Amino acid sequence: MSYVTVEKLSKSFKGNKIIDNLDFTIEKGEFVTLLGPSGCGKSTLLRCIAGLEQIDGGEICIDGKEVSRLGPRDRGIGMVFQSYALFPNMTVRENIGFGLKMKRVNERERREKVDAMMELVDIADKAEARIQEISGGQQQRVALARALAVEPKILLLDEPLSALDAKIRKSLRLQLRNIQKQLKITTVFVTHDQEEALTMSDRIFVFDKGRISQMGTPADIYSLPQNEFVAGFIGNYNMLTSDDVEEISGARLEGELFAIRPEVISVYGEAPPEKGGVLHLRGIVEDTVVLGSILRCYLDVKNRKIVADMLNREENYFEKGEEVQLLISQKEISRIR
Amino acid sequence: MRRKLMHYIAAAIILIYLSIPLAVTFLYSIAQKWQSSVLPESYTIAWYQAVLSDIRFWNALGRSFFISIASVILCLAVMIPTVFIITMYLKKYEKYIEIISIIPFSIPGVVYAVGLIRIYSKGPVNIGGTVWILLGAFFIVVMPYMYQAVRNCLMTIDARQLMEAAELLNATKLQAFVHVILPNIMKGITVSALLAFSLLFGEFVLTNILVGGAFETVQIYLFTKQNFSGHLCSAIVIMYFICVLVLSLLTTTANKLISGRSRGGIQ
Repeated sequence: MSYVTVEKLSKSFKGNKIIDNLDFTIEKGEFVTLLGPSGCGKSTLLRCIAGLEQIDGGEICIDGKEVSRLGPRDRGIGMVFQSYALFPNMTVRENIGFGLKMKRVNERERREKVDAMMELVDIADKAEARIQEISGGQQQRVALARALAVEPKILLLDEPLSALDAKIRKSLRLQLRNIQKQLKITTVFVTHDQEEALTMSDRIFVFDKGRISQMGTPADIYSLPQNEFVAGFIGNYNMLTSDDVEEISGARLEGELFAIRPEVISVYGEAPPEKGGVLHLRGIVEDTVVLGSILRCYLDVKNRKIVADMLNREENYFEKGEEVQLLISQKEISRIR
Repeated sequence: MRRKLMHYIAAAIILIYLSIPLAVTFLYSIAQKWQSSVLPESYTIAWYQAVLSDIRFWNALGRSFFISIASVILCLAVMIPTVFIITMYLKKYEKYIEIISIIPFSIPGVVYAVGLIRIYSKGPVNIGGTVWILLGAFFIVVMPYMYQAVRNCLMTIDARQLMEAAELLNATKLQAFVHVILPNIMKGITVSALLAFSLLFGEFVLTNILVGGAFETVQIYLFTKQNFSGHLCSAIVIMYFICVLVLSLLTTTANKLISGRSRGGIQ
């Protein structure tokens, strides 16, 4: 029996189906990310699990208990909101201790617990500061500590990093994942950022229009997209039909639609080495963009646009308008249809 | 530099414009003889002595304070929970409360007062001419301000999300309201309550028609002294102004102290 089971969950707003007959399970201690574009229903699903939205149909079980008719305070859920929703009238310590106070935990025990939480998220030096006096990253950590202090069964994170700048976001990402592993707490994380999803999760559920389009490990999601939506949302796949492939390479592949990741395309200025099992193309460099350690090369192959990623090295720089040859290993081509 | 000077000049003009009536009233209240000169020819504090030694003045002041504060508190006690519940949970009824809050503006004071007298001087709720009818009338006068104030405060603090956060942390709705919502809206509401108080403290039309001499407030007292002496009236006005000023200062300092208490705890 899985720790969290969702069956046939539906939710509509004013006749619009936001979540459509959803089924999934989450194991204890797992870090699951709901990934999808804005408006795909991922935040609504989180709010349904938390009990902040009434569901129209279906069941939500947490730890073997049906909770879908219970109020938010009876579900044993900790949640971090996108805007944190910290209490401005309280200090950091009071915010973190609020849940314990409501649970009537005695003063001494509460103090110990709050101290431990502040230690965990590294905010102990700001214990007596008010919320307005600490930075966004610190607020985010307070919100996390506040949610964890009551020892919830599940931790729900609703785009908790999206309001922060890139550098803090990256370090908090690691910190968040480490804390999650340390406490082994079952976590559902909502994001629209594929990099965040790929680096943090045990499993990713890719959301599209209220349905799960694909679920799997980050590696699976990234390299084996099962449908057009996932291929279009993750990475910068080159999407080609079988006719396209035949026209540019002369080879006929089995299937209708294929996704080719930019990093599996090798670009050569002179004749490439002879190999079996590869597609051999000729193209013209249209533009090259430096993305830090990666060079992204935009190519024109018989009037089709192909994107190839290479490591940022001297030998990989090609002039605009230069004719180049491309090799694509057939094993690396994902068949979508 | 030149621009800054312009700012000072503009501010000075406004300040002078606002303070001249007050300054002249003050001068008149301490003038003994002031007929054919720019400034009074001689000064006296006799008018203040007359006002301050009049027990009717003190009683009137006490009544004004009582009725204004009681009305504001009553209004807060009713409007805070009402507006909270309507904006958070009964959104579809919001338009009705909006309409209700506009009505007091659209009815002239005299019409309103006469209507109230007709309803409340007979029948089951016979409170015409007593302080209770005034309490009710004042409630209605400040209700629109309180509605707007509470609503704006709730929107500013994103009350919905704070409630959700508190409820997820094991608080009941009531606990969440008391521990989280109320402390966070109180500061904004205090300012509006103070404005409402000043409005009621200076109210004359309704008081005069509804209760008149039966419940003599400062404004009614001032009205009865109108034909007695201009100097005396000026002294009353200045005293009245000082009362409002002191109360405003007290409230704002109290507000600062409340928000400064936890602020001081950082070091």
